[in-house]
Amino acid sequence: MHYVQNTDADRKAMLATIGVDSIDDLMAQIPEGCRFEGELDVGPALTEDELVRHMKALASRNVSPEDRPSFLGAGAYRHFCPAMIDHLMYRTEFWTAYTPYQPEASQGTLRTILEWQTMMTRLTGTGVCNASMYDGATAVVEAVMMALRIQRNTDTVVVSKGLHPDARGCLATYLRSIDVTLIEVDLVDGRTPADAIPAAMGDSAVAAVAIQSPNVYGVVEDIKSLADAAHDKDALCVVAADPVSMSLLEAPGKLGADMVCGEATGMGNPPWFGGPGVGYLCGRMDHVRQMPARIAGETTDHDGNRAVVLTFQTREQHIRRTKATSNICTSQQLMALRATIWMTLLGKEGFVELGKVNLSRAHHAAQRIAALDGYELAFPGSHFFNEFTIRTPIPALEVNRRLLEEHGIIGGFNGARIAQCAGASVAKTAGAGNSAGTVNGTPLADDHLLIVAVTDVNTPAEIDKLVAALETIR
Amino acid sequence: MSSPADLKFTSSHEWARIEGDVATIGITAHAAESLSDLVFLELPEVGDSVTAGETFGEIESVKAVSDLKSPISGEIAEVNASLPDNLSNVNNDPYGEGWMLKIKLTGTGDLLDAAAYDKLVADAS
Amino acid sequence: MTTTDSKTTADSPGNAGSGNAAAGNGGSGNGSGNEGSGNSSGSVTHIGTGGAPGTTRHPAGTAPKLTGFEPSVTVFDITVPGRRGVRPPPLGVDEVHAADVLPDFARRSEPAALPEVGELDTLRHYTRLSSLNFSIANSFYPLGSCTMKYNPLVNERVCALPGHAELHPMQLDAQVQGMLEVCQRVIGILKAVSGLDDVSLHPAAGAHGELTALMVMRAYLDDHGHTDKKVILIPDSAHGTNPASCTMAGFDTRELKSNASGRVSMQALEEVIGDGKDIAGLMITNPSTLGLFEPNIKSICEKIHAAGGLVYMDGANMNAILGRTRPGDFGVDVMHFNLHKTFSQPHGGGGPGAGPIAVRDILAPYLPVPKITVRKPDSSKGETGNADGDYFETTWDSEKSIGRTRGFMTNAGVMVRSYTYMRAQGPEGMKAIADNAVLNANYLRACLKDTYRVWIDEPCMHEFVATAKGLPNDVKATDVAKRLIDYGVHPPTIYFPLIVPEALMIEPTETESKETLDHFVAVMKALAGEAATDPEVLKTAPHTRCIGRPDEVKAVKEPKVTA
Repeated sequence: MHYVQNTDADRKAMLATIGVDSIDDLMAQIPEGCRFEGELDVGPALTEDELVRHMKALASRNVSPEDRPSFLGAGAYRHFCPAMIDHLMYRTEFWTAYTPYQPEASQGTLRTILEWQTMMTRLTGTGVCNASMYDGATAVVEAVMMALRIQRNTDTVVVSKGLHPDARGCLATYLRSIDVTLIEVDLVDGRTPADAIPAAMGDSAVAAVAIQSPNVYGVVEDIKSLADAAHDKDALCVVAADPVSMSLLEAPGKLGADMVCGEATGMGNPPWFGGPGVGYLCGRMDHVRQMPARIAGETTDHDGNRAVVLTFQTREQHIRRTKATSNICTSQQLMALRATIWMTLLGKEGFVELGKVNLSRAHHAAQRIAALDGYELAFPGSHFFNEFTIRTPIPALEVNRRLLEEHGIIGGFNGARIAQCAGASVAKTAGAGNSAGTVNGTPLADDHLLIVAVTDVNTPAEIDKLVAALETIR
Repeated sequence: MSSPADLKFTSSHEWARIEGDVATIGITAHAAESLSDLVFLELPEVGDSVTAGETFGEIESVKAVSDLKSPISGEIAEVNASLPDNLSNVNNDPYGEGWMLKIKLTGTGDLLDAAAYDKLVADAS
Repeated sequence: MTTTDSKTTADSPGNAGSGNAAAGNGGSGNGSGNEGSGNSSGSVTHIGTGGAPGTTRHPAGTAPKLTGFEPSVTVFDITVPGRRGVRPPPLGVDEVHAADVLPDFARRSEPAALPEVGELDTLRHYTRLSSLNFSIANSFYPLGSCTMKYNPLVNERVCALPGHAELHPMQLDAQVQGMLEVCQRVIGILKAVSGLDDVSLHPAAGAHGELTALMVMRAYLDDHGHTDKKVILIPDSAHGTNPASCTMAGFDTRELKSNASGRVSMQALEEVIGDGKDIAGLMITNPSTLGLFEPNIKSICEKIHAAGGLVYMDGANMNAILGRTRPGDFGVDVMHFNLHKTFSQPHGGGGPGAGPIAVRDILAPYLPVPKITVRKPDSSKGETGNADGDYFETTWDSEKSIGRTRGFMTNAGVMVRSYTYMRAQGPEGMKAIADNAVLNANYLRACLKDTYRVWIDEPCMHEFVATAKGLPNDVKATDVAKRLIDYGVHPPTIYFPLIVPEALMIEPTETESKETLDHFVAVMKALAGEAATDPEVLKTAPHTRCIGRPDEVKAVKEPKVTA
């Protein structure tokens, strides 16, 4: 089964039209010495029925969060997803179309991009959003690269350790390629201290300060103070943020962020084991020429009909080549479409209500876990939305193992893995060797931290179950 | 169409009007026409220096972008501040209102006279 | 002034769609309101059954003109204050008020102005928007270099299984053995078809694969003391992502001119290599963007290797050579695949895709982390293996690795779809993909070459490049493209590769039937006829869509990037 429709008779007729005897004759342009004469080791062909059985068997070897409570967040949050989203995504015109380079044949996709851009700028309090990025981590990288282009003659970037470790790891990799120095700032009491920013910058020519709020420990950062600290030293401020948190948290753009970026998968998309995700990147309209990737814009046709096109295309690789703002020529369009429909279906009021469900359930869970013997909030006095960090009496790895084996619960994110995800970072760092920084002056033990996400998919009964389970684990 | 005889030209379609130690530069009518509708221009600032043959700015139409290469070397004395908002001047009056920079001259590149430039354009098309 | 533009330079995927946006006038588009209805000029002859989606056909002049009826462009046009869509889950616990737990500095001052629309109108709005697109289910889609093949539905069924879709990327290895096995199996198949030694599934797209590969090449060269090797050679026919990726990876580029037959000129190659001291490598697309196999590919690779460089192959055109030749066998050191081209991941209106890279063993230590390793399960830790007794582990420590290049590990959803597609093939099926892709392309080439000049008129691989140059009355490639839309055929890629004037790059793929190809030939011939008899109908096309040619100058001069 290989989806080819040509019959032997078709092939014969077509070869005759071409004027050759066989397909081998056409393939003769592959020179001798380059031809592969063997049989590819790709497994035997399966029929559709066999494929479904095979894939179901593989899927059954996974522990699906669909079947049990899961409190994993760490950059990939599960939320309520209305049925209509799958239905609309599978409209073949959305699902199989190519990039909308022919506007007259792509108004569907183009208009949904304009909607996405509009919704994301309204959430983030910014002037422009692109059509989407690969994922949250690379969106942060692209925001920082954008800052480097805007801020000519800079060679340093300052990053909070509250930034998702995948983004920190990616920044280290990408910036090394272009000889930019990365300086990381330690957290104090779960937050990035604003006074650490000028200290970290020193006399360097800093393009941007990158932070995340809520940060990887779930803590809400004081974006305004951090943005002010960046601006005081002529650096731009890049804020990574979960867009769902913007239901209740102030738009970062209103607090001084110059670029707002992150991962939007949670809006209408399943986590997909981390991909395909949908990164977003928003910024100021006066920086639009330095933005990477596609941007849709509204115009008219010559009869005055409203039309949407891809615009500012001279920024992009197909025209500017080596001088392009980025090599990107993909957007995660289908995932961005799902997020767009998700935002539409929840709407202005429903989105805020969903935020309240997250906030209420997470605080309810945090309060009850903190009341358990041996467990406490790692960052007392800090503020959070739907994710918080607890100190565990035994290593978090062990807590998670027992939660799954004894209670069928997928636990939180083990704080020790943050260092693993950030990778062999080449960043310069001033402070302690741990990831979580200090609380009341004392360094935290990363391996005794459990980062717990409680969203609208975690019912009160699941929270009860988690609390009861943790009570037995110490 | 023949180019103004009082100007010097580059093979990359810029012109220079050299008057004493000051040169005025811009892009040629042919360049403006082939770019068609201009949408963006980026120029350096007064006090910056430019080098003959090297890029001094960028000009864009909807689907084309061009590096602007300086015909001469020197320090920028004046920038046509009205241009970015009136790019049609480059299309409509490339050798007049569409001028880009005035430069205090220190040297020139390999420049063509009007006849040689017109021949170059004619040969290319 | 040195110019790059999209009249002569455009992106592979038929960018430049409207090279000269301002050219349209009169007659184009039709009244807002009724998609596709409208004032098509009377000379349009529709052939066959290929009606454009979103199109209703009325005889000229009879379209109803509904003045005052303005359909929604975006969902914000149908927003009504106070209207609700779906309800979120209930609180379920006592409400915690933001004012009590969030500090003033962080609390939102006013709700985001998201749409306010009911469920039914949401369904109608997006259904209607979808109908304004072309799709593979509705139309032939011969976009050169994009490999718009059939996207099997079974892939979607298995991809949506909760055991795949709902998996969280931070789950421990023991909980995701099935998913890691899918990934490992994709790696095995990509190794087999490339003839290379190791694979990374990290890259999220082809350009991301290029960048990742270039970083791997840089790390290898540096590790071997060749920090002075900074130049990557790129043929003039290359896709724009190649040079852009080089810049991001910190390399300089040097252009390699094609010869008259569209191939790499060996003489030019020797000239740009020079003494070879600064040569880091070559990025080559093979088959090339002209749809031609490089006859000298082996000696090209040898010359690069002799200069101490590495050969990167852009695998965009892998569909043409599956099972017929393997890049690893002809000298390539590293390549990327486009799973959204060769292995049938749907294009989704621009993504998602995936751009895994395959490398020769010398480059394997530098691949990004985490990697998947296969070992035997440790039963003392409660690990269990699969039917073959294998356990899959993600490993993070790799001394020479370039590090992280993306969030999490891979576009797993794409891996599931593409793996399902690959397993439908078997070794015979893989070869049949290439064989029929090449057959279909050559059939179109043979049928069209007397009407449209084929740039290099010899047998092609999976695609070929014709030119609109020479059509009567100065009809351009863009006019041909726009007019094809009226006939219900998606335009080919135009104005790419850059070295062909007025390029029409045509790739039918292996999944199209002879009848569809014959229909396309008839349309293309009819169009050439129109160019002679009624050029205006092409120059003002399309006439059957909800918009005519848009004003792209206005889109930049008066930017409106939000609704």
